[in-house]
Amino acid sequence: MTLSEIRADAFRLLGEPATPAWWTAAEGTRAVNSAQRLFAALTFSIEQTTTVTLTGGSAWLLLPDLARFLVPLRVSIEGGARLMPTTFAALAASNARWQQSLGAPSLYANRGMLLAVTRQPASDTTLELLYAATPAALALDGDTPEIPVEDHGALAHGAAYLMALKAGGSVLKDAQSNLQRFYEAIQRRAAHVRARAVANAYDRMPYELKKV
Amino acid sequence: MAISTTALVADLVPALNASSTANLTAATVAQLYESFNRTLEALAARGCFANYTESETLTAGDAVLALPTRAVALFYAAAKLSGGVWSPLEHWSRAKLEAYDPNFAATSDASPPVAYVVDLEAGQVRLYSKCTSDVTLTEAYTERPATVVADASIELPDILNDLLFLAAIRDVRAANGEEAMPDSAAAAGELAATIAGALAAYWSNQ
Repeated sequence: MTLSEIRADAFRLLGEPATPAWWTAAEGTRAVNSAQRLFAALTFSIEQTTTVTLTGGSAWLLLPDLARFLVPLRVSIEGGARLMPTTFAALAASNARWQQSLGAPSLYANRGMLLAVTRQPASDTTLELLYAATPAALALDGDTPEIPVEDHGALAHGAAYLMALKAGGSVLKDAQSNLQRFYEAIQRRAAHVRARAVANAYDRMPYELKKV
Repeated sequence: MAISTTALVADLVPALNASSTANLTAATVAQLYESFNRTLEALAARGCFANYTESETLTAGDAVLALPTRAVALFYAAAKLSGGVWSPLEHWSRAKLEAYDPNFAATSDASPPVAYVVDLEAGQVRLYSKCTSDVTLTEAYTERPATVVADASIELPDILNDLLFLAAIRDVRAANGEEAMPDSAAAAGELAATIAGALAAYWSNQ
């Protein structure tokens, strides 16, 4: 589905014509983008790969500005071995000198955009980072969402609910079923992604949504 | 993509049932920025933004150094002497330090420090004990993003756009007590809480 199709569906769900009086196309676009970001954040349905350089001899790496970054799914030496995830507390508990152990990296811990790696390679090393990402914003009417095509319809439900927020009252109440449908689609996709993440031995799983 | 506060406020105009940014009262605009900053503070308090300093030097005989700007809490610190090896520092409370060594301010040792005490109000970290030679430090800490101001561009992940948007609807509508709007404020707040909960789960892993 395209942005304009999803937006038109969202307006229809709100009982409005294709050119509604109460909402603008810009509001519709914003709501669709917001719904897609929320969907991706709660399902890890979009994956991106990038490379980052770990400075030789350093244990620390602040990820560069990755606007779409959510969480690392897998970290490995480019073309080489995978690093296993751990926590800062476990690193300090298992080896007091973890940030001064020369050798090939085998473990990483992360918090936000900060990565710590042990052991430390003597020279600059390229790490390959597979991460769960949020989508690029849809701007043109013909743009299509990055989330799986089966879930494009759910974006209309999410967008309709988001747009209903400004109205409140009975409009918001009527839109409640759209939120329910949106959450159901998120849960279906997240379950699928979790199964795939187990199969691929990814480091992190999507957030468990308790709603519904 | 950086988050533009101007664009964010403009996006909120229809959601707040105003006709243009110029139509928002100064009080509402102030409420919006207060909301943006409060939302980011709340996320920072949950440890979502991390940074580090490496190879910071503490001169021989010094025990106190300034916390990094905008630091909320240290979650890892290590020290080493010149030519030595890194040694992780324990996080102590002020009470523990005073109980352990009432004369801590004067205690000095040739070995690297073993613990640190954070004084957030003073923006300082005290190491125990002082060292008779220079000490190199690594600190990993959580921080708060820079304060959000008008017409700024913030380098933060895109998903925060949605969190700030929803939290602002919640805060402004709740504060203004708009007729028939409490449900809207609550609904926006619930979605904002879902996003904040997910981000805290993703970004505060220790």
